[in-house]
Amino acid sequence: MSSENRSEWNLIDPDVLSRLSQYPLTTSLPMIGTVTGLHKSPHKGASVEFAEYRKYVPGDDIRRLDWRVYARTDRFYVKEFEADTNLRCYLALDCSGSMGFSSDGKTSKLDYARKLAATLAYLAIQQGDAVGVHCLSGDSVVDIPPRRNPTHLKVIFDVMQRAKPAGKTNLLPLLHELAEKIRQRAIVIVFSDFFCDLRQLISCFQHLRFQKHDLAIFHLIDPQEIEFPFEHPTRFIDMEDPMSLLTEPNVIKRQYLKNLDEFLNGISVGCRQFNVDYRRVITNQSYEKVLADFLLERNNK
Amino acid sequence: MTFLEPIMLYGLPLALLPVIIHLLNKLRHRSVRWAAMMFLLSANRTATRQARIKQWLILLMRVFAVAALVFVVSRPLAGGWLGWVFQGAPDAILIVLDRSLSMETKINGATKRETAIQILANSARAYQGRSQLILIDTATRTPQEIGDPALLGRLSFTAASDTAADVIATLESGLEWIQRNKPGSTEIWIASDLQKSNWQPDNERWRDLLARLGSATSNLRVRLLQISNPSPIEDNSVLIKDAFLKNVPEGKLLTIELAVERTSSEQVNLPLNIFVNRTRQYIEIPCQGQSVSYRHKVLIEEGDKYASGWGKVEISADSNVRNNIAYFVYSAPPVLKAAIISSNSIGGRILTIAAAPSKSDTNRMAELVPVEKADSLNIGDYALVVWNEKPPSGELAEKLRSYVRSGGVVLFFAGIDEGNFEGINFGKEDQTEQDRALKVASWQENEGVLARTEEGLSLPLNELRIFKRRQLSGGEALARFEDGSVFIARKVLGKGQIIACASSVEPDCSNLREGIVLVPLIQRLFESGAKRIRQSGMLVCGEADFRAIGESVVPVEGGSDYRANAGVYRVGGRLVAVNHPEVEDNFEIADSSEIRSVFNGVNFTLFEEKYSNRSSFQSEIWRSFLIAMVLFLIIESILVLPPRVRPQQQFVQRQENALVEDPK
Repeated sequence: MSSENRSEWNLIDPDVLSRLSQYPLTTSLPMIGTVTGLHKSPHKGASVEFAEYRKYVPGDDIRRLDWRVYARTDRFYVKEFEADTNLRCYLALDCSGSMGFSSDGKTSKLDYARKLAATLAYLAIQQGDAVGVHCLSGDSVVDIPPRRNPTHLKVIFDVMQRAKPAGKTNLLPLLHELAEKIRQRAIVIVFSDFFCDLRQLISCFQHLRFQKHDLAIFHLIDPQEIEFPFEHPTRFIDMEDPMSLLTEPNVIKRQYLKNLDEFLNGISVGCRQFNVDYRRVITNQSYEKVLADFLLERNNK
Repeated sequence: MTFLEPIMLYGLPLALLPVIIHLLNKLRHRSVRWAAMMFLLSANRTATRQARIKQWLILLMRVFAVAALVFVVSRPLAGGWLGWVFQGAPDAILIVLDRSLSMETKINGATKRETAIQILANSARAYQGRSQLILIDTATRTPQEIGDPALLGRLSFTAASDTAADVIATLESGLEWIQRNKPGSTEIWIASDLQKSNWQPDNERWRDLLARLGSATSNLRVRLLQISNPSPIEDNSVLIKDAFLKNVPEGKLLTIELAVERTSSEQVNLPLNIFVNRTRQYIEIPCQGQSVSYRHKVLIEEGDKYASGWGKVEISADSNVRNNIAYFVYSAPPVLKAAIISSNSIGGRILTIAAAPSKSDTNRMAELVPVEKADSLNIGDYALVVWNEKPPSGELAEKLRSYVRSGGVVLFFAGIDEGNFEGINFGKEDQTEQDRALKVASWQENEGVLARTEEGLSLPLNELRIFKRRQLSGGEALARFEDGSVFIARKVLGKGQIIACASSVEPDCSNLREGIVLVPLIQRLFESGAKRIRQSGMLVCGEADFRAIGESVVPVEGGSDYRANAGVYRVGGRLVAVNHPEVEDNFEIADSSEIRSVFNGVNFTLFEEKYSNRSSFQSEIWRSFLIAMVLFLIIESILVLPPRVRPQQQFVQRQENALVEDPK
């Protein structure tokens, strides 16, 4: 294996994967897949789980007639079973400039998001689901359509690895576009810091949910952003815009924390309203723990 | 406001240190690449005015704290009274200046009076043009309006004087001025050394005075500058008690009785210069203790030229030079008269002989006056009044009372009826048999009229036989009978005294007529009463007033104004010596607590002059600045407290902290 390949595969940790593989990535919504999988389908299929009896119509496979029912009722009924199918998982990765922020200088929010996305992609493909990636950076979008081929992982990881934080957060139009673009039901997982207008963001979530997609979002926040531990006069340089602000942190701290608090509450309430699986993630948390909680809670639903 | 360490005020710019540090911090800001700019910009836009005010308040508190610290080390004094800063100018300020002799004590090169004037002038300058400034000095007690406080030290009303201060009377003059002029708000500034004899804190007049002051003006404040630090140098005072001529075979003998009061009790030989008619004699008298009496005798040559004259006694200069000289005048011994008021001819005769045994040998005369003629008697001409009757009442009693107050002496014998005079009461009569006469058991031999003679011999009171007596009560008992009842009593009234005897001189009353006790008793009382006559030329500064007489007063020696300065003056054709009051030799200072209790109920502030390097009508107030500094720091620390985290935030943070694990 080449060194380049090795760096791509660094996004996942085999130990973490082995521990998380016991929790399948599930969805409570029926999915329309192309092959048999773990997930419920809106269609009837050939799984072992009985669904219903249906009157025979010409053209039905006579092998599916229930002869016992015919013997008792003298009518033809077809026995139908639940169909299990695979799902399409869309991983939307915000690669705006703000995602490059890192208070410890090691793990940026984008690095953290990459690990979460890569691990989820691996788990999904391993259970036969198709995974696609959308890296949203400024006005450019890198779009990898979903595939369930294990070799597709390399493409996904490669795209993720090459994604660099740059440009302004242009998440909103891209999420709307994504909602329209995905034709069939899918699980859409968004990794972002969501530094955008809250009302429009909730509207995006609504749009995605309206398209019957299962939406999960990982809201990535750096510890420094939530604590604002500055005391001395500081010049804050915007990571997305060529602008800066020289200010007294002591003067604005209270208002900053208030604004942030309102935003976090707003996004949380909005997600609850549209049944969006919302995860607030502080980047000093263990990503394994975050994913374990995410998968476990979805399984328990 | 003045400061004891003004050089420390150069550190005042240090108060700007917090501002400079703040600006430097702003200049030395660090740059941080920041993601959550939307919240930051929003916070910066909407950062409340309150937060910015709070930030400036914190800075202000730090500036104030440093400034207060600088003031603390500069040792500020409540300049011109701290009240200037906070209180408006009153309508009138009554400046009461203690011009008593004790204020002439020098400390650090300036007298207490000069220090007081300087401070008062400095303090009054701040009110010039805003308040009416009225000066009342204790010597003249006349309110004077002051135009320019800077001239306060040059006024004759603030010059040195040898008078005593009657603070109550001075304030009463101030009260009259207030009642006359009716100013709205009034401040009374008093500068005094708090000499107890001047202030009389126990005097009942204070209560009435302050009540009237309170009702005379709506807003009264009293500020007292206490200049009572004892001088580091010893202060001795000399005073002439008596100076009189006596005829002796060699000529005329001048006897000068002088008293020296000292602040020290160290044993020393005190040098004295005694000038008699410009002839100086130098002597040294041994001094032990704080009070010394000395009698000096000078033989005056025969001749009319020196039949009268003046002199002075000087002691060496000390911290108060004005009480180091005492003046006296003398003249030919006057004929001393005694009035014997008695309707009983036998008693009257006995007493007349006892008062003037031999007209040829002495200059004493006795006049027998029946009691009914006592009304028309010019009692002031007599050195002694012997009253062998029932004590008088009505106008006659008042006349006798004023005679005693002016220095006269009255000797009462028990009359035929009961009676009383000035608290001395002659009660019911006791009579005994001739062979069971009452005897005198004890009497005061150390001092007073019954004291031993100069040779140390006791008066033979034990040989007296009393057959009739009246129960005597009131006054101080000088002699007692065997049964403990009083035989002779004494009461001091003003400058004079009243002596009362429980019996009488008649043969059926006692054997006093034998004279063994009666003659020395009456002669001694005669001598005591004679001082009033002899000392008509010895006056007390501040009490003498010749304006009523209408005679010209010419200074001979010493001061130029007899009302304020000690010295020798010629009034009409006679000489008078004016000396400082005896009360000024009482160096006792009233406690500040006593003075505070006097002004209880009045807005009163006491300031103490510490005699620091600079004069000030003020007290140190560095403690106030220290408290202020602590307060500023407490406020600053409260303001810099981080904002309280809301319960919701606390929950989120707890949740997040619980999730934190060591990243692999």
